[in-house]
Amino acid sequence: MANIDFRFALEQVPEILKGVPYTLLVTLVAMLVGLIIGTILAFFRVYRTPVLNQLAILFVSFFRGTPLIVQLFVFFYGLPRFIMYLNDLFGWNINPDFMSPLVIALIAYSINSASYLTEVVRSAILSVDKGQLEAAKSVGMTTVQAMRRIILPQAFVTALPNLGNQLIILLKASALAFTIGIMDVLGIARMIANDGYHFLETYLVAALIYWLLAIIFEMVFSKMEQRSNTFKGNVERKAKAAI
Amino acid sequence: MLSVTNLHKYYGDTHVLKGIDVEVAQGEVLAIIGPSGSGKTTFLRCMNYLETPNRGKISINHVTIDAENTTKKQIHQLRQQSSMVFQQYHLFKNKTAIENIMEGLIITKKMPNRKAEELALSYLERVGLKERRDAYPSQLSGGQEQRIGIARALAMNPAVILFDEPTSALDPENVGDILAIMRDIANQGMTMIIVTHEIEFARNVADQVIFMDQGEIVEKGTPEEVLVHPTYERTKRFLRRLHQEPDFII
Repeated sequence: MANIDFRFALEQVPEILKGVPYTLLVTLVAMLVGLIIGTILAFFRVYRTPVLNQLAILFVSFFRGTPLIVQLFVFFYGLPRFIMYLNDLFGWNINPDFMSPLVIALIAYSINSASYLTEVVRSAILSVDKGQLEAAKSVGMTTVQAMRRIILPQAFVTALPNLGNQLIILLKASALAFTIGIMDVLGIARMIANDGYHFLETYLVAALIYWLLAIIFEMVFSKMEQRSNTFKGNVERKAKAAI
Repeated sequence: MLSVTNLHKYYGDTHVLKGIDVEVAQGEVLAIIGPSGSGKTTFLRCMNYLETPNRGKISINHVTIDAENTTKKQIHQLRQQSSMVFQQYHLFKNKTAIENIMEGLIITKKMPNRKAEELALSYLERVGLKERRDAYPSQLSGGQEQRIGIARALAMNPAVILFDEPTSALDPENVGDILAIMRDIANQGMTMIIVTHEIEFARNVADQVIFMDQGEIVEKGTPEEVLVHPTYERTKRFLRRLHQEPDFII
């Protein structure tokens, strides 16, 4: 324990890096699909659509209120059975095996992140001044046009810091996918660690890889925030401060 | 050209508009004055359905709407007859000055980008802000924002422009600029309805003045009749108070 075998650690890097595509796949798909579902649910919440609003509240409450790892297991054992149930019910012939662990992980993470992003998007939409919608209507736009061109772009900027947070949380949470057999960064690291009894070295390498990915995400988001701040006038304010 | 008959509006149990009747002819300027809470802004916002009236008829150009029986399409059509200049400007914050003017042209009027830009530029020039075309609202002063707001309303080429206290949020030194632009627009024959506290301006520019109080029209007539020789005690009291009011309250 006293001395760390750096050579062994270094040798394992290429192998563990092979898990990065899976880690990224789960993270990015969950972010994107979560954002789409979250935006739709946010509209149900903002407009208090009867029934759908209540269902959205229930959805958010359940998936934020239960551990992700439990959700993973429920989906892992539940989804194939659900498909068999549908087969029985409608006389379909879908092979439940298409629900590979990867597909199940993508579904579970997307739904989990949707529950958080619903609230992020909802609060961002509500933060946009009501006058913006009125102004859009006053030049003859429909509500949908106003949302797409005026409200959502502004809401997106407000939501950016929270979205960045969510992405990094997802990145780290994706490590749990090894529990259903995904060979992501942690999945591969565990395998190597168990084979060679070099637990500390392999997990340190895994930690550094996650950290590096997180730093890249942070950099991307800070660039996006800088850019989008243009219309908030921060650029000019900074310029004035510099003088 | 524009007529409103027996317009009623309730907020819950509060009766905020108690049967308003108004007629405005083509090219006429109507000024609405009255104390705060009199319903004048609510009335103006009913004209383009930013507020939904409960009863009555609104007709602009050839679009007529009966408040008790409306469709989304009717509301959309009515809105396209007018444009609005807001007290707080409400420029699109994610759009530059010129994009603010182009937005309605491209989306509502389906104008090609090139043509919209050309037209927007001519309106920017008209309000004297051509060189600020690429500035975002946050980079503009209040007076400049309101000039863009007016340009945006003008560019839609509406049958009537609704002004909701357009100078109330401005620094005193910018008020004159905006009023001058508005007078210019009026002189070119635009139909305008203006909710304002600028009594001098109403007197010089309006063809018709309405004094509203507690959700009803108390007095209606030429500026001379309403502002100089008012008949009703309520109007007299309001005008007296307005003249006594100091420029600044600290």
